[in-house]
Amino acid sequence: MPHIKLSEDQPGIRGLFAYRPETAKPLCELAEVLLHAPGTLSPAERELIATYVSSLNDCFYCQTAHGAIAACHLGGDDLLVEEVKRDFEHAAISNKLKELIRIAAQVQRGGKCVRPEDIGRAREQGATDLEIHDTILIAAAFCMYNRYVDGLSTWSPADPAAFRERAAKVARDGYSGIPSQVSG
Amino acid sequence: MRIVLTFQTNKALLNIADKVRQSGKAVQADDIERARRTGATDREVHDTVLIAAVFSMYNRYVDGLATWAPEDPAAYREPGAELARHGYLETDVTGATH
Repeated sequence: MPHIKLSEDQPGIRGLFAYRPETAKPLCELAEVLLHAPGTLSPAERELIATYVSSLNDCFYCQTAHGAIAACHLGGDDLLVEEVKRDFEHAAISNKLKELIRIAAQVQRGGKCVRPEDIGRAREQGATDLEIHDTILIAAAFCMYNRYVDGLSTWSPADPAAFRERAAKVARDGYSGIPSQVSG
Repeated sequence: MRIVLTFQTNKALLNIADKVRQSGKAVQADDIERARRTGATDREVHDTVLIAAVFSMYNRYVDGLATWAPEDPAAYREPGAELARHGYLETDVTGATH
């Protein structure tokens, strides 16, 4: 049961967006810039970073929701998403993405855990400053979203299949429209 | 609307913030109940959890990219006063107001 009174028809962070529209707007704008707006990292790569960090934080709602969005960007490849969560070192992803996920995992433990050699290895695989910046901010942002969702004990559908339809919509339209979808 | 929360409410909300810092799942129903007993509202509990979560992001962002920071606390006084006076949207990152 949620720690505060939330609308019962919206799961996870959506219930929180409905509760506090003033904070929903900047939170969705940040997600749009980080995960959906044009960038040199593909939306699938960025969603995989978000999913991986959410799995490290053990946030069921976020890892399932963003895993489903990543799978949509990957043409429905749920298996690759599961592989990344279980053992990204051996998943069928680029070496650059592996290095970025390694940095994201350090950020999840703490900002000070990121070492110059972690950044150096990502650069050797061709990561740009902007890609390193965005990876760190995505990882940091999901340390926020995960804490927000679990810290208020929001509810989540247990069945990953329940996330698919909404994931397809977010993969297509992005995050900016969510505050108006959940209000009212 | 209460401008200043009671000392007991402050302590109960700081306890929740510290739990959020550790992990969202660390926040227990007991922690929330303790805050409520001191008069904390749903909105205050919500904002406390979100502030703690947001600073779990800002802190990782700042340190994850190894940004530099002035060592002398005095250097923070003027920018801090600007932020306190004008808020975060009217103050640019260098501390000068628009």
